[in-house]
Amino acid sequence: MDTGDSVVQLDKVRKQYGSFVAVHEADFSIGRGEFFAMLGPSGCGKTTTLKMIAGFEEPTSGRILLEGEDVSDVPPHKRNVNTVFQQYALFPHMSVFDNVAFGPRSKKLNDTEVNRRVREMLDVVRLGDFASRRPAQLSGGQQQRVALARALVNYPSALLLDEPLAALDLKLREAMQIELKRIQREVGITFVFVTHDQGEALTMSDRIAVMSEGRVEQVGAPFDIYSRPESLFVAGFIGSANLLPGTIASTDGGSTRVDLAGGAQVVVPAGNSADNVSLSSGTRVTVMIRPEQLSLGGATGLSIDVTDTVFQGATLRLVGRMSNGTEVSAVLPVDPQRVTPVPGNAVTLSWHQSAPYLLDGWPDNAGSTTTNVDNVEAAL
Amino acid sequence: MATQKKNSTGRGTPLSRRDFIVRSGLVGAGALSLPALLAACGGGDGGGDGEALSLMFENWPLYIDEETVALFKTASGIDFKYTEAYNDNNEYFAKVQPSLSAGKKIDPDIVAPTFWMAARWIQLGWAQKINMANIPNSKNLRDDLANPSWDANNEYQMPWQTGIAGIAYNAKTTGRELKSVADLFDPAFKGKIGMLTEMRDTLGLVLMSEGKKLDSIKTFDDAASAFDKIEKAKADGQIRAFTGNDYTDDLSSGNFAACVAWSGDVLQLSKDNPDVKFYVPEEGGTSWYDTMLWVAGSENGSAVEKWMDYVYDPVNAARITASVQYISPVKGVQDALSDMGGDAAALAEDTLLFPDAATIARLQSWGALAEEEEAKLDERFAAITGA
Amino acid sequence: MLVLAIGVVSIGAGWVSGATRLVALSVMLVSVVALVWTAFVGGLETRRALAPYGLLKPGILWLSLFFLAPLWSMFQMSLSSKQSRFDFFPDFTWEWSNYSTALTDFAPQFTRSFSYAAIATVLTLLIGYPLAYVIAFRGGKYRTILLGLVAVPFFTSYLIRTLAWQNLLADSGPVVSLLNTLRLDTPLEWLNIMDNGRLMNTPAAVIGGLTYNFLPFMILPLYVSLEKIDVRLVDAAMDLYTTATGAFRRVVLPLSLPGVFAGSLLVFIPAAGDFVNAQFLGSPSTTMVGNSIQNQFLRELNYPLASAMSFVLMAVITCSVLVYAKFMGTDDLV
Repeated sequence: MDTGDSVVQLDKVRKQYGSFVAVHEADFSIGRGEFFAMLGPSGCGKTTTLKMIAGFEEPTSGRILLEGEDVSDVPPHKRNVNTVFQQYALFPHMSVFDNVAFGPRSKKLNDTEVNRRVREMLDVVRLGDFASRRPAQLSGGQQQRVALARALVNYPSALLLDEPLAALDLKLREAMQIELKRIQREVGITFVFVTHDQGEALTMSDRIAVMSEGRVEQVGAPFDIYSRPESLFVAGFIGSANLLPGTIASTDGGSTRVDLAGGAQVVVPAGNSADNVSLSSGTRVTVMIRPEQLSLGGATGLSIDVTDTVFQGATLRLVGRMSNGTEVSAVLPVDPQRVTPVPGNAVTLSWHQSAPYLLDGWPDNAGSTTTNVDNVEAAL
Repeated sequence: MATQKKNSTGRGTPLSRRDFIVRSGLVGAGALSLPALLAACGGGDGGGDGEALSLMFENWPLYIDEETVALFKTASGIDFKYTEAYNDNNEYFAKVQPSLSAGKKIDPDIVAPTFWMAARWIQLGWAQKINMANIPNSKNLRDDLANPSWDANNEYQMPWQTGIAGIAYNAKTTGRELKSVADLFDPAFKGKIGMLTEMRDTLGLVLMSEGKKLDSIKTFDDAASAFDKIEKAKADGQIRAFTGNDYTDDLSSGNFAACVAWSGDVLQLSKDNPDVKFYVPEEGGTSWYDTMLWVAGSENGSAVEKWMDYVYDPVNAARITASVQYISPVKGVQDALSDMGGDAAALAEDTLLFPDAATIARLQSWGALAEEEEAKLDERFAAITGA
Repeated sequence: MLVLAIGVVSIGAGWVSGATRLVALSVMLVSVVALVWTAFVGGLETRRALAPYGLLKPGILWLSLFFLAPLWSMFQMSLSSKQSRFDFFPDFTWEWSNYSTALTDFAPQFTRSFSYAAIATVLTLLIGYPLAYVIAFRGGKYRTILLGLVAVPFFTSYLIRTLAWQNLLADSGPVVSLLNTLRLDTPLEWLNIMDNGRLMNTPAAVIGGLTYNFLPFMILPLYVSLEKIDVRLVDAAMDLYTTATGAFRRVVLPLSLPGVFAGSLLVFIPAAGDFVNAQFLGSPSTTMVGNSIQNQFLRELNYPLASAMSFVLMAVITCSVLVYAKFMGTDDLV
């Protein structure tokens, strides 16, 4: 999907405000019909990147190509992209119909065509019966769909969505995630989606660009990003992970032995490492094992003291500490037949040999990452 | 002359007039509310009885010197209250009317309406007869002011100060001397002519320029031709504005080339701006005066008499004249001023304060008008001045 | 409450007298006592039911005493007739001729008042809108200071401000000199703004004074309505293929209409009844109805006619406001 049929292409795009660099050389392309997410914590530059694509911000250097044409200094109203704004930015003084008709009317389409398109798009978002309402008379989800229709009615090359679900409550978000996917399939337009919610990004996107502090850390399909993160940041940000610092003891043939700071040794199979890890002994590395890859018992593994257990329905989250204090968490299936560990117990956690994955360097805070704070906030 | 007093006193500064305008503006704002609320004013019992005499005189602002009030108090032992709330003849009339017409007392014992308004008060029975026998100095009243037609026996009022209305001009703007009311209608001064909102002065000058005698004006028809002349000048844009005493600014700044004006104002003005000149037109100027009137219902008759006697003493009158610089109604003031020496003595030589015989000969006054006719005149004048 | 209000109105208006007044007073007294009694002794439900009326009490009393009573009294006065010029207690005689006199004799003043007020309203809008816009959208941290500057003239008396204009507009004053230097006097003369080389005492001066004095009344509500507009709406409009101008016309302007409406009323209503500007900046040919009413009240003491004129003024203003509200369709705005 890379360059073959790209709709949006960022060519070493950089954005600087004074001495503050908001975006460092972003360089990726978005394919036709793709559902593309830009994911990262707040302040990572994802919204700035989106605004540059929309035309509200001009890149300091680099080019933005839309359908192969350089649009870096084309004003927003002349770019064939449309945006769904964070709080929707619906025009409060206009009916739903007039909101949706705004773009086509700007383009001076004739009334019949405007009417046809607006009706069509309202049907797509299932708001056909609400055409004469005012935005204030609609629920949050309905407003969201009006914003979508208002943008999609223009048949843009790409639809840009700035945190489109952030204002909705959890239930509605989940419904809207599915709805968005359906609409995208139906209209076949490229969606570029900005979010700080990794769950949302993983669920919905074809590909994700993970950003941190103005840098694009990794671009890839959700599964690749989850299972083969390129950096500690990506590993920690996408899903939760146990990040165990260590040093490479030896490499033999394919697999690598790592001495963990806590004393245990982990064997990482060949190929289970980020591209930038140099596999020579003495290198400081971090072993990533996802909580759901750990299981209770086994002869060898991590010995931990259980500090907390959280019953989550189908699963049980178990949190404990290694002897050196590194926190480890595991997500275990709930089995009524077995005795569940309680805080204070000492247990051994083991894993399938294919589970460990090597990342370069040591994390700032060793241990497990759980759902990040942003995520919790968004859920609230 | 309604609004003129305060500017023309010795203490008078431009600020005093501003002060007046602000105050009258506030009264104006209040005017849009209920007349019934105006009734709230007045009333109250001011009169004392028994041994200590008391007296209250409500006069125009800045219309007396700084010593006389205190000197009179000491000399007479009367509890004397002097106030300056008389700002405008018509407005004051409107203010006291609810009380006086209902037969209630108002606070002051003496008020200072201009002569024609005094005539109205007398006619409405709002004034009391004064016993002139108790006022020896009443013999000092100028002969020309004695026994006007509306107070034939001089028993209701004594004049307080007098003045002249004539024409004033800014020689720099006109480029020539003006001596006739006809000059006010010279097309060369189009849009640069001011007239007073005081009907008797503006209309009076025009009537005299038509060769009419003011005291012969008894009906509306007698004055109709002068009204027409003024109205036409207004329609032609000859007249720029009808003003109260705020004409002085316009005159000195050159907004007005010439206007109907009061002598006292111009006397002050010409000190700062020698280009500003006053002239009693060849065809005649109006003479006016403000009175002291004993208000109906007041029980302080003997105090009233004592006060009137006091200010008709030429020495006391001269002290007031030296300060307010109006023409005194009291005989002997010129000599008394000369005796005072200094600046006051110089005033004794001023032709605006002591006009020569030829000038005096040109002065005329209005007689009393019947209620109906006065109403017609007022109405027509208001229509012309645009109010 | 109603009884109380009617009572206050009737006594205030001198509607009733003598024995009737006593009766009215005692009825009021009884109703107050009854109210207080129920408030303390009545059941919880009763007290709850009464609470909203209790809260309205000060407002209703205030309005009854200082608005309804004078209004009624003035209405009565406007239909009264005087037996003679100095008849200070006109009799209520259904004298409708006061109204026809007001309309015929003072037609020019009414026409002038409404046209001057309308022109001044349009001018304040043209001047105030860009100013409010810049403060609301570009003011940044200086917003408060800029708004303060708009309000600063309020610290000086209205009269003093108007008097200051006399000096500014004087024939030899700075404005006329500047216009002459810039050779703008001839075109202005041609446009009928200047008259014979002067600005003072012309309709332009009166309208200018009204515009100046009422400008803040336009700017403040405009600012409030503009400030509420989400700037992202402009982004959204531009994202939807419209230019900055189009975004203003289709989004910002319609959303600021409540401010335009409020501002216009706040300028038009007092400007139509104003007499200060006409008095100090105008000429006999520019008097407004406010001057005439003042004159009839204070100088002519013709209370019936003055009251009738006030009522005509009120009626015309009320009607034009209703038409304007209908035309602007403000109730339809969110």
